[in-house]
Amino acid sequence: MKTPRVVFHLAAFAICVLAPFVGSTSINLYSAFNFEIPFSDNIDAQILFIARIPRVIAGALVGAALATSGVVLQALLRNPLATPFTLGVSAGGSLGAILVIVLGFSVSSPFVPTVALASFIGSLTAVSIVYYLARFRGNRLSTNVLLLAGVTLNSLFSATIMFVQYMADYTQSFYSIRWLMGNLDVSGYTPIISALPLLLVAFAVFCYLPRALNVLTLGADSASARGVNVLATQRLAFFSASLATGAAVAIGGPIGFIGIIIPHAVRIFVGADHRVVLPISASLGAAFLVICDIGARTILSPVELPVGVITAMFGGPFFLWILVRNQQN
Amino acid sequence: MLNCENISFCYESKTVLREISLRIRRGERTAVLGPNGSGKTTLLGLFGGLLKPKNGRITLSGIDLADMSPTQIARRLAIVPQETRLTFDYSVLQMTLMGRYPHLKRFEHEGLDDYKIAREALAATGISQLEDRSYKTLSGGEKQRVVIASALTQLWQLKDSQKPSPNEGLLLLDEPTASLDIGYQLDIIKALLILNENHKTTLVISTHDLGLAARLSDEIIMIRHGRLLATGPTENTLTRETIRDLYDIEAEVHRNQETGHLMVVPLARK
Repeated sequence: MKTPRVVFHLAAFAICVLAPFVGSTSINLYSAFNFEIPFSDNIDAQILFIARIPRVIAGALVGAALATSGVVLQALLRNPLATPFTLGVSAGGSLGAILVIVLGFSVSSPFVPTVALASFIGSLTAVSIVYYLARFRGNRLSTNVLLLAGVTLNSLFSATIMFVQYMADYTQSFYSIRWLMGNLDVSGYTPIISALPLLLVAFAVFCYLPRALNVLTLGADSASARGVNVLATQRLAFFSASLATGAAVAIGGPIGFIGIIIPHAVRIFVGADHRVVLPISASLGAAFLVICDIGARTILSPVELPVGVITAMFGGPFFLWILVRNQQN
Repeated sequence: MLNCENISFCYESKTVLREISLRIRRGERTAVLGPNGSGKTTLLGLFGGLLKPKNGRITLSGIDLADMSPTQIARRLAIVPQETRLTFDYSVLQMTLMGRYPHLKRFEHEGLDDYKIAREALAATGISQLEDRSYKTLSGGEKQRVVIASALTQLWQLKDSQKPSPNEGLLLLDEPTASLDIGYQLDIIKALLILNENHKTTLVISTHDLGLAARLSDEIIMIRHGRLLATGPTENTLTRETIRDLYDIEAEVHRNQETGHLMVVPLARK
């Protein structure tokens, strides 16, 4: 069962590099890379560079962000059932996006799409509320309060989303339901470029955390007795995971399943050491979402499926298979 | 080694410990006794730097705990809780190696020396053969010995890349045998005696088990209602009278002919 770790990274990288060349329309690679044809006339290049490549980059970033946030939150909350969506971040993000879709606001910003911006602001609001409630009493964050506040905010935001949808007209509610299903069709680099700095900050913090997260799974007191600054670690973990989740939801909507399943699948393969689990979860999360998105683009082609449907419909049985196989060994 | 001067502690408005002064000398085995809610766990938390005294000060090898960073404290003393539950499953060796946390830099991985120390600690607690087992599959007594090994790994240093030199170490154990059956209790007692005698580890053990205290400790601290009731060598301190004052019970204290230890037989509630 010992697979060298580099194999995971190489496989994920290969999948992401090859993914833009797979799709419902076949593209002529020769003309796509023929820069003598003007770009405005070059359909192949347009599909490749404007539709496919940004979409794969978005999928890889969102997949990596959700999978690693899942790992970090499961360690922070000491709860294997935690997901990036447990603390209400995604529900806040969704509410922000739905409000903009339904109310039809449009701030003409050249840098960030309005819906993505609204989603990120919604996420920030949710994070602030949860943090305010769980703010340290004594010398650490209360994980119980974090969980309960998160679950409550999730219900509250979801109910508000339903209310807004109920009041909306047919088209608006159709668009908002589509948004909630998750979609990586970013058609351009703008959303990626605007989310990238946020994701990079979160990933940088993730690099800093793993050893403390390992010790934190023994419990806050035990971690503290080993010299871990528990409150600082909890704060960093909470804000970095929320930042990554908020940015991922802003790009692709609330794509479920990745944040809980990839971390567990990775632990089955490589054990629980976060120094190993985090980077491999990033790679596998990226590869998994990119593959699911290929499915979304091609299975019912030319109709596109929402990628959130694919992640759970195909990922679910796949994970159950890993689980059963692991228990037989 | 550890010195408390007049310490008090309160949780919000409730005072848990009042004006306690005591001293724990290097190489001693001290038992902390007291009824439920008397402040034993709080006292251990203060010793370990997890809690900060409201008044008074605690010094470790002459340095005020308040002036030490968590890492500096963790290199000199380690805590073994009553029970350690893991969220995710680690192997025995991985868990033992977590004791190296305060010795490594942020991005540093454990080196050969760290592995050497961890394996010595596993040997010292008699569980070398469990190294690759997963922690969750172990029995209660084995788990507790892994936690002790991890604590030793935290305290030990490798001098000249030879044998670990543990003589600085202070191990605080909070009811370490409370959830174990009698066989595992004896295993833990044996492991702790070996640590104290062969490795010079200083032990402070809070417990409800007067037999364990009599068997294991050479010094006793008795606290009740947050106050120091009695302290001194076990031989003089563990008596009918002090036990009556501590728990409101009548008990007989004998000397066991075979082992030479004191034995406490509880008789009735006063």
